[in-house]
Amino acid sequence: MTELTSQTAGWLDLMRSGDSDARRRLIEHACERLRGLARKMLRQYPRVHRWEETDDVFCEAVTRLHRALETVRPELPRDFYNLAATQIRRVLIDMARRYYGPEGIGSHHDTAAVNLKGNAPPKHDRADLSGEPSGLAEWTEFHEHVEALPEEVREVFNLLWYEQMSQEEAAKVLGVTTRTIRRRWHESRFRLQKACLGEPLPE
Amino acid sequence: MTMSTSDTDQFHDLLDHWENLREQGQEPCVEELCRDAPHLTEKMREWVRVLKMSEWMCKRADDVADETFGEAGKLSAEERSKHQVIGEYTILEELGSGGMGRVFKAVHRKMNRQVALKLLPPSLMPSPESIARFDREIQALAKLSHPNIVSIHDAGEAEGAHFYVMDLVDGNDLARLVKENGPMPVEQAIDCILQAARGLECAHAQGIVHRDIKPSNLILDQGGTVKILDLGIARFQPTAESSDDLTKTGCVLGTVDYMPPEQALNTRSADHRADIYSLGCTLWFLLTRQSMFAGDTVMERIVAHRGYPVPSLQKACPAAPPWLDALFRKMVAKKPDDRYQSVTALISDLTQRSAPRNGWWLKVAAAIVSLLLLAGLSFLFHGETTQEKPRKTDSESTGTNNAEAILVDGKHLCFMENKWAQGLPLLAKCGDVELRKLATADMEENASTRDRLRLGDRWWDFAGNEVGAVWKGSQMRAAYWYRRSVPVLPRRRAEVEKRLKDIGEQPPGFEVVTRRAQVFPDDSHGIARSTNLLLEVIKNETTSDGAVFAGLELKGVRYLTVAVNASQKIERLAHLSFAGFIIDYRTGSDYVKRVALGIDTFDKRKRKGEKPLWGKHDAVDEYVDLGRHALYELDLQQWAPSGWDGQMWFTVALQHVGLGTAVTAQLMPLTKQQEPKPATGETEPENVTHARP
Repeated sequence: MTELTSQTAGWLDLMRSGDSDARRRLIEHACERLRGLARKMLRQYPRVHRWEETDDVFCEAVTRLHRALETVRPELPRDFYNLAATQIRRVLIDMARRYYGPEGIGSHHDTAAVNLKGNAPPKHDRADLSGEPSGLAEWTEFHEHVEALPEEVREVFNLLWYEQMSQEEAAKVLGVTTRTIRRRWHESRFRLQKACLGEPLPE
Repeated sequence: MTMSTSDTDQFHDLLDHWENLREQGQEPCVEELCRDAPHLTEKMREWVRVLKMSEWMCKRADDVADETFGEAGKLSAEERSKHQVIGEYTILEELGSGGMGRVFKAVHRKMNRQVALKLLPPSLMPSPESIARFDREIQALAKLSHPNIVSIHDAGEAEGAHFYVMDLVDGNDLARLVKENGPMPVEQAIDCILQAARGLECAHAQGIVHRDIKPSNLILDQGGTVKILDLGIARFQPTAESSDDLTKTGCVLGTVDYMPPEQALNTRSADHRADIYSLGCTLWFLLTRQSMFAGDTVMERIVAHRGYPVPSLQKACPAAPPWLDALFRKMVAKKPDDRYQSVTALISDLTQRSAPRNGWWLKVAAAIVSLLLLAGLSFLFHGETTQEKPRKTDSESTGTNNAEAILVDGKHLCFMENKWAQGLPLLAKCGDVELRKLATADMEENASTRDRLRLGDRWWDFAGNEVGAVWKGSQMRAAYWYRRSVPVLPRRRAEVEKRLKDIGEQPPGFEVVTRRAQVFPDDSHGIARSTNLLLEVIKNETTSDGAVFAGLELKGVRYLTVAVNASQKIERLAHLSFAGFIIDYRTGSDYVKRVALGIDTFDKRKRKGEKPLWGKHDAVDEYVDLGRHALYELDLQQWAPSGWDGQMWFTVALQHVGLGTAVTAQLMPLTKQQEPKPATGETEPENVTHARP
């Protein structure tokens, strides 16, 4: 077990025994991951950045995780990582919807630098050249596609992408070989990219 | 290449091989790869096409790690410990990590000397100025040489990460020792505190304040020597200069268990007496294995340090002698002026008192001192000095009763069993509920700025003792909060009102005082944020949900922290006013929905072609007022605080409003109501460059 995983296991034990500090540490850990992802997403979108600070995202994630950990008591680190990744994903999805949904403030506020007259900003801030989601709407879809991955594959994607673990670390957490991890990692990327491209999966 | 039996295995092996070649900078040909398995070529081609496009998913992880720890962050802890070389040092293993960075055991490659190397995250060094300051500080620290201080003897930068090098101490920190072995014997705890105090004495003599004394920063080595760690480094913790980092728990908020009240207000203004306070808290921990103030949340503890009475050390640790309790109380006095004024004085007191008392003259002296003390106490109890009374009461009633309430119309106070308020005119008393009047100068129209500031301070103090009670018109819309107690005042509302009428006193009304701020061009950013905050509230209808409280609490603490660290008054005001808004957030009062969210007003403004409230740069002050409005609009029938977090949060928000009002008054003395500066012609928020303080 890696240092991080054993630390997480220890926190989970403590949390189950009622240690609120352990819960705080678990939440902090997840939020640190979230912060980096959210910051990168928002940095590309100045109009959203105007309203949203990554710390706001952070606070919302804390709220969600706090609530989730009250109702769900993960037994193992892998359970916690799955829970955290799910919550992180949902925060990011909601964040995007908040601005571009029908009642999102991004839809009702005008940013002169982009659009002086129209009320609804364009959906995408920049062109898609790399295959990476290029607008918050696409990011929303991306996170939703992750939700739809088969469980085994999603679990690996959670650890490698959301938790940013190495393949070796993920293998230890899941108790499988790194070869299996690589295989599932390939599969998750393949499925997600196909979904982002709107292409059907091969038979 | 190992070929597996099934096609699937073979296919994935081929993919692995393809990826390995790509990582080596090659562009493998699919057909070549599948030469031995041509039936997989088509599938392979498709996967390679898609996986190439998905390579951004692989890059992202590296990028994010990079943001946290620079180049060094790209390595996992294990990799770093195996391979990393930082400057002249080779990392051997990671010793620990915290809000201020990671500590590694390292070895100097030329000198072959083992050291402890602390790697600071780049976020602590946001500008060349802060780097220069860091260098200067390290130079000063390197001159310190004392057996009770872990010496710093090198510092530098490697691949974007700053680090400094300390002696490697073979021992355990006191936090770990106590956690593993239980509370220390009194003699050992005194010895540890004495040693730490001697180290601090040396540092203070050089003008260096630690500001983050806590058990985990005190290391007990194998020879029984206590050494202070991280001296002078605390000032590099993120401040308002890098507000993004403010809510990183573990940084500013991580050490609140040992943080003196004044440091929570302004880290930079805390002087050497802050270390004495923290040392007192450390003494408590060593003897009890607990923090001085219990609390599930950071904010709860911040408020406790500020407002709660100091608990009795003797009760928590019966082995502690009375003199140690007294000494401890002096160390952790709320006001710096009431503490030991120097570590030297503390050492002197500690040394004398802890020494064996054999001489008869000592007994006589002790008897004389006791008599003098008794005489002094007697004078205090019979004199008019009321300030000492609450201390006695507090110490007798730690965390159990002594409820208070504050009436925030600025004219009246409503208290229960509150000894602080005994000097104020009593208007009514119903059982244990008292209604008292504030000094009239406090809120008169022509009150001076100083008076208003004093009122703000007073609100702070009172609120720090957990209270909230509001009157409006003929109704008492009161909210009463007290540590783990049930609401009391609301149940007594009718009773209080009746008594007020009996004595011919009308329940105080609330006069809306509209203050208009001048143009605050720097605030549009914050205004947009607070708007966002409000929108979130309404979406989150779970205002009675403890989980929501927790998130709000963080936000509230963040605003509080930013505000108290703010170097500019404008900035401080802005953040305080947001806190007023958070009251709305919590209560979700109709008033706020109507006005601030703009179901009525906003639409009207819009129809008139005016800008929304948050588009006006002079609206900051309105926010303070709105926060206050919301406070007065609390409807207890709908207001159902369900958790301690929420209750505490409200208390802190109340403090914000009080302070916000005071600061507003300081900025804009209220002479006459001024018309708002027309928003027309002002830069729209969309166009404003969001100047961050």
